[in-house]
Amino acid sequence: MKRNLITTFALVVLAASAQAQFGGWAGKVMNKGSKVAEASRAWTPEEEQMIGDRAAAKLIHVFGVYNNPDMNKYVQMVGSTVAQFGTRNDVTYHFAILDTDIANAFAMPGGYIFVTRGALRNMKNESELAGVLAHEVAHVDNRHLEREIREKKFTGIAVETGVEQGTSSVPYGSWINLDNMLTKALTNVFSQGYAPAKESEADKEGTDLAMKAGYQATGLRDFLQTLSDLSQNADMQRSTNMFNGHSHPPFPDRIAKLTKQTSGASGGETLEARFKQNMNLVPSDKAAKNTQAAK
Amino acid sequence: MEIISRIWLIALLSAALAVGVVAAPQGNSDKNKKQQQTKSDKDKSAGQDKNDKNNKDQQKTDDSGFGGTITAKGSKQTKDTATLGFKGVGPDGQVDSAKLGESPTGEDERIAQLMTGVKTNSDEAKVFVDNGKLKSK
Repeated sequence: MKRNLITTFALVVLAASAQAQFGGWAGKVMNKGSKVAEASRAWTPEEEQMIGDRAAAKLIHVFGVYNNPDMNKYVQMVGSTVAQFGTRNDVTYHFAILDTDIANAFAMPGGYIFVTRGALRNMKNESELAGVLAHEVAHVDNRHLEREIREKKFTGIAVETGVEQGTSSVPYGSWINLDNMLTKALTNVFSQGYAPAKESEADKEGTDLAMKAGYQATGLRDFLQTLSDLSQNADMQRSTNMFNGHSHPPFPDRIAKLTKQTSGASGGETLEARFKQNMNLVPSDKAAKNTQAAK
Repeated sequence: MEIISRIWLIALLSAALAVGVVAAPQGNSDKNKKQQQTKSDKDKSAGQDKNDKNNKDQQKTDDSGFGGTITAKGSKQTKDTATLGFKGVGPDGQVDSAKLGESPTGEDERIAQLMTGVKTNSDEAKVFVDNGKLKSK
């Protein structure tokens, strides 16, 4: 009995010693467990900023920034006016126009908010712009992209690509890992969108933010109605496709909810004249004709 | 016989413990040192690259869309230099996944950095809010 005990003890010590020297299955299991825990924890403010910086650079790489400082400044002013009523004090919001004809807007971690030239072209007044920007601010306020990445779809990616706290100052281990994770996360968000509950949350809170800033409550709803009308036109579907049903719930559902939310609201500014004064967009069809004529 | 066996086992145990205790920290220590060295080298290299990049950035003429110094007064440009068309999306209106899969360039990062440099001047913001009959927090 005593001899058996000693032999067992010896084997355990030998196994432990081998494990300590060479790693092995126990090490791998523990390492993977710690990576899962690491991937699903909340981002620190520094990590959120670094991930946001990279995600914003990716969007700029895909669409480009609209080279019109006056208009970018105007969008920044409208955005800042609604963002001051946001819930997060640890984020500074930055706004810019993306240089593409599609009608859309995007929010990235760290306070990066983009609206496209195509979206601006289809807006009628400043309250619509304020509503769209406030919707995006609400996405950041509620950490929607971070939650998408952490909660469900991308924990596996994060674990596979390796989260190695302490071995790198870059979130997710390295720039390559971070890029891969962001590509997958953004592709998913663009093609399938956030969960409908997150979009509804952003619609509701965004409308509240715009109202608190003194804008007419129906700005976001009215813009969605314009896009809904445009989406009925086959020629305009390319412009609105990303916004309609694919990355967001269908227009009619959202419009109905917002109509209900804003039914009791009255007053608020639309600022149509100021909006038109600040818009300096060259209509793409006119410019295209000019280009052809020049040839 | 039993005594010899016990002695052999104790010797074996001692040897295993000694190897385990000594080798493992040594291995980890070497690994950590290597990682620290690599990280330190990378940091140095990244720092150098960043300095070079910053210097180059300062020399560049700004065409980012934010007007150089990014102050409100510095952004006096009315020329519309948009690239026409559905940049970044395919014929179906969905985002160009190949483009999205590419790593951002230094120029993309520079523009994102310039974007963070845009600060809303509080006096201008007040005028903007007052003119629009809007509200401040």
